[in-house]
Amino acid sequence: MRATRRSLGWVGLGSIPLAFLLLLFVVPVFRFLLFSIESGSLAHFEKAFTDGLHATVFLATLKIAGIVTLICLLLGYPLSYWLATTTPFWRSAGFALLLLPFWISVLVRTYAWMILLGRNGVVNRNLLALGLIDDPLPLLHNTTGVVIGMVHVLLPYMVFPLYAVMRRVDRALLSAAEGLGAPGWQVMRRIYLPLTLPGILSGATLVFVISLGFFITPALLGGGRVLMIGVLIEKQVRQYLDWGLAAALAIIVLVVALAIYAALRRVLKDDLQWS
Amino acid sequence: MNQRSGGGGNALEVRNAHRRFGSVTALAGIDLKIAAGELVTLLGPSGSGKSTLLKIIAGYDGPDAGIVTVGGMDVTAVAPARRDIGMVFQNYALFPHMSVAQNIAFPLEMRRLGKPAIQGRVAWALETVGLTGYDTRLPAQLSGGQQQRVALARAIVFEPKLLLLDEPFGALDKKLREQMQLEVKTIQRRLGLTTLFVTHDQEEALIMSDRIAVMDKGRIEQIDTPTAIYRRPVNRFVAQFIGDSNLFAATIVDVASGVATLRTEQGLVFTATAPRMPVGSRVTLVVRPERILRVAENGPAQNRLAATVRDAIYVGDSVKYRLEIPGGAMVTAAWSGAEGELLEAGATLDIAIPADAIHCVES
Repeated sequence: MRATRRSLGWVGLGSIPLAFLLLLFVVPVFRFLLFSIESGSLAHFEKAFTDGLHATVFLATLKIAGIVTLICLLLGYPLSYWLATTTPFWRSAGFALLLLPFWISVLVRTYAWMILLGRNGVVNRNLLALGLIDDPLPLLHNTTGVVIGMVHVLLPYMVFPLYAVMRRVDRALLSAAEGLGAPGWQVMRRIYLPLTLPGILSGATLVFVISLGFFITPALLGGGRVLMIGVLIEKQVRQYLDWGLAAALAIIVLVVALAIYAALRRVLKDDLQWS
Repeated sequence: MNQRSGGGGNALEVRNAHRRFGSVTALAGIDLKIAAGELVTLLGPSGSGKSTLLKIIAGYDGPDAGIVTVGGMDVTAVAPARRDIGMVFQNYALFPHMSVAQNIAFPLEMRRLGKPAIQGRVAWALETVGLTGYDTRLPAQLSGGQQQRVALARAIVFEPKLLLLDEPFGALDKKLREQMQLEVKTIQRRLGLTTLFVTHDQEEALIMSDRIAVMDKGRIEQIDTPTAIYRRPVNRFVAQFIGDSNLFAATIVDVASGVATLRTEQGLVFTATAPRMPVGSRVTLVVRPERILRVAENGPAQNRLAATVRDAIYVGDSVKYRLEIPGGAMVTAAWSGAEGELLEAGATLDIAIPADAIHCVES
């Protein structure tokens, strides 16, 4: 009886935020997605798939998401390793720095990058002053700028799953491998990388999926010249008022994201069953 | 398996090893020699330096001073990967993402053996530890005892110059632990593996070892055969650490024709086989519980004491009695529990300690 009443209490407490989310988030999203088949046909999907522009933008989005994921992994892996193995003091300091961007609005961060990366931005001026380059590097209003900005925002999403996995790796395994005759790079390749693979996959999936839906960063740092699918969807709604097509494109992004997530679950369950 | 002879010399030698961590001295001058094929145990309480010594021998830590040689070669500055030492870790350290066979093949792959050779060696190692047929299992699918066997197979499969066992039985329950102790000992003997074994369990050390090195505070207090360590401990620490013992602080009052007269602090007088210490020395007398005799009223009179039973602990094959003797001191006696009636608390009896059962060590 007591347990039931208590759990009822939790249900009651949980129902308030649940209702909030349902009414103000899930219902509108579904309502929006329904626009895609409102005409009673799949015409919007047909247009989404056949229009060459959409395909190009979609491929560009996948490409940028891929590059961002790769760079996040290359930066995040050593960073996570350092965080997982350093002293508590440096770990706290490292996490504080890593989380600092979260305290600042995405808009502010993005504008900060515009100041840094512009033709007369801090980066170019310093490089010119040092004589390392003769002409300013094109860092803004192109893919490079978008990638830099996205990596900055998404790096923590790579680091957290990696860090969590690395913290659990038994250091004795590395010592054991070494003692059994493995040089450092073999310890990394045969032991540490496979053991941290679940973290790599989780982090990469997270970063990739979030990248697919990115809007503000590509919109501002891309200067309208880098079209990602999020930017395109917004254009459909705001400029062309084509809600049906926007909804169809959104559904395609959603399906791709869910498919990647399902694939990850499957790999973790079947091929990495030891973890 | 072909046992490499150590060239007649020592398979392992540690000379004057020192190690400090900040203000803590972990090793204060260790000298240790192990002959080929020998199993030597480092025995000591936690913090005695035995783990530090093991790490230095394996190469995971370096001594501040002193050298380590394996098979006559100075390896003090050699990386663990190139020392050719097999080690079984406390929690086995099996690679969780590799099957049993892959775990065992790992050191062979690192040595670039060919596929057929590896397969042969792995099969041999699995057979040696009695795990034939378990090739494809993951470590997580094995019991504690099986994991231990895999760890052992992995440590011996590449014919290491030296085998290190770091408290390998700690995680097993008593019965399995005893079984594994005998099995490891049998394999070690059969293959003639030079082995250094680390434990804090004195019983385990007595069972397993050719020789035991008793460590305390970064020093080896005594290194000798189990029998010698048990019967003739060199000091109070060793006497207390290995087996149960009754200790009496005493003074040597007289020595005549190989027999010493000793007076304890409680005023008891014992005669004992004369120690090598001069008259007047302050000593500690060590008497093992099973050497105390229960005597009939008209029995021998040497070192005879009237005793009262205060406590009786029945442990199956023996009974341990806490006995109060004149002067208020307590001694422990262990007698066979096989037959006869057990004495109740409060019972009185006469006991005697044979002269050769009293071992004197310096206080």
